[in-house]
Amino acid sequence: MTALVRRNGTLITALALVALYAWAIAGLELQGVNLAERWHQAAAIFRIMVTEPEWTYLWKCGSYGCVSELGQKILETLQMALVGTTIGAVLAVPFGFLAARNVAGARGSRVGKFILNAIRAFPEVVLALMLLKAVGLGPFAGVLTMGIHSIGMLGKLYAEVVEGIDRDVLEAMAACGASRSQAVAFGILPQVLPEFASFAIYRFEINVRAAAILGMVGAGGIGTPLIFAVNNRDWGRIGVILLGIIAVVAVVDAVSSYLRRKLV
Amino acid sequence: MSRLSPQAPDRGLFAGIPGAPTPWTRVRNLAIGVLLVALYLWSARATDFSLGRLARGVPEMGNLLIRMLPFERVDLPGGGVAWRWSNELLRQQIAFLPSVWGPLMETLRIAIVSATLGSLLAVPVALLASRNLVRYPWLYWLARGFMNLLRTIPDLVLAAVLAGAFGVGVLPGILAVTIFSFTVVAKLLSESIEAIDPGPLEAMRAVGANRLQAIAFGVVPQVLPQYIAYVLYVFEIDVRASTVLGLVGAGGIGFTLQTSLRLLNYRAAFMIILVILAVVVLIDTISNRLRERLL
Repeated sequence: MTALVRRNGTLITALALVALYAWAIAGLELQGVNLAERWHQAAAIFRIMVTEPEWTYLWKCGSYGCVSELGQKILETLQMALVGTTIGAVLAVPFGFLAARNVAGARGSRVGKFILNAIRAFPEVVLALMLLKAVGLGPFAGVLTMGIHSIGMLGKLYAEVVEGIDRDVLEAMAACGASRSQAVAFGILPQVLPEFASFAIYRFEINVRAAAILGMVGAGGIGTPLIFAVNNRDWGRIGVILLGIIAVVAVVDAVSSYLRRKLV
Repeated sequence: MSRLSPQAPDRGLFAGIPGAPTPWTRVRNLAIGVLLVALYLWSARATDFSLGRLARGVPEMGNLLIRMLPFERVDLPGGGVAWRWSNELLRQQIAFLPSVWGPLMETLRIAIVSATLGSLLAVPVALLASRNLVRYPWLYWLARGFMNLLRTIPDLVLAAVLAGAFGVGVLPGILAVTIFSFTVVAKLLSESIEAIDPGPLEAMRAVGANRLQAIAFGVVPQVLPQYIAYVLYVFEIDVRASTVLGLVGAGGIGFTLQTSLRLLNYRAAFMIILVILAVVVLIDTISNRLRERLL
């Protein structure tokens, strides 16, 4: 039987894939959908987004002075990401050490990593929906969501860094009479901090995108005006908001990868 | 005094790096530190961060949790409220599960179709975005720029905008996740292609193979296992992404979740969240196993 399977492995895989696709495509409720018509409708909408962007949302001057609503919301998005990332990056440190094999032992590490994986598996937006019920609408819920969710990924990465600690340094320090706290401060932290910081900056990149999304369920930031504009079919404004998101994410990505290159 | 003691050489966090730290770098680091703290305080204020709200939120969270679990509310004669475990409510929760099946399968279908379409579309663009294959720099930069531009748009933002443009349903969901998968696979694949061993490619050219032949026999065999691993990986993230598409009207189990939350049916919402978690963990495990066998 196993020989048969091995000989016909490719064929069996191919058949399984065909069956999978048949199942997937046949079950999609696309039969009633007139694709050409939908496409025409969408193309008209995209044309409005590109040709008639609502520039006043980006920059508007009146008797009260000049305001940039987009700028304010983008700033709030960045601030949410900053605070959320920081909370996550700090809380992830104890998790990282407790999930590291050389600190917590094999069993402790497995428990720690299971907890971190569970946090990671929980979809961020769903977590936000629950926190919104607890602390109310606004950016605070978004910050908490990102703070908690970041622990999952950062804790796991931190644990891997801690597992890679060079023990010789610690032995050398113990040999010249360093205390435990000195060993941590001068033997462990210098080894792990640059990488911790690098991962935290990377997570900031992810959280800027997350912050843009969280607003769509009411957790503050640029997502809130975006989802209002979608519901009001305000395509010109959507165009400007998308432009803002693309610009800010691109800049954050570039700055972040520059900083990370300098760090590690 | 401790600065001069041998136990604590004052090279701080930058031990071993030549040229650290001088009085100037110390002033600079202090300035950066002060600036960062100011930035945090400013951001914390702007995001309404408050420990008081957090403290008030914790009992609210507990309240929400208990309403997600099969506990019956009992009004005490004194005006208080107690919660009592109810087997009847538990039965109702379990009876709710079959109705999640349809939306769940829709979610998986969206993930399968989108991961496949996105991965296929990624191939030509990844080839064009590989420095070692493309002769014209403008073409390389064009492909790279297109990839990076699409990559900046967060997946759910894309889904919301497409749901507005194409109308609510699975169609915008499939399109959004396809584009998302495309950006992930195209980036990873182009990096793999740029890292291939140039030997076979040069050998193919030397014996007079044309471009397509050179790619088919000099590039494809080298990156195929990695490509399949990327497809599995992107399918894994697509399942996560597809579970929440429904929140913005783009199909799948997220819509069922949103409906039950709107109706304040927290026990149903809890079951949906459990199902989502179970599926995400299951798909992650399967995909990880397959990828380990591949590479």
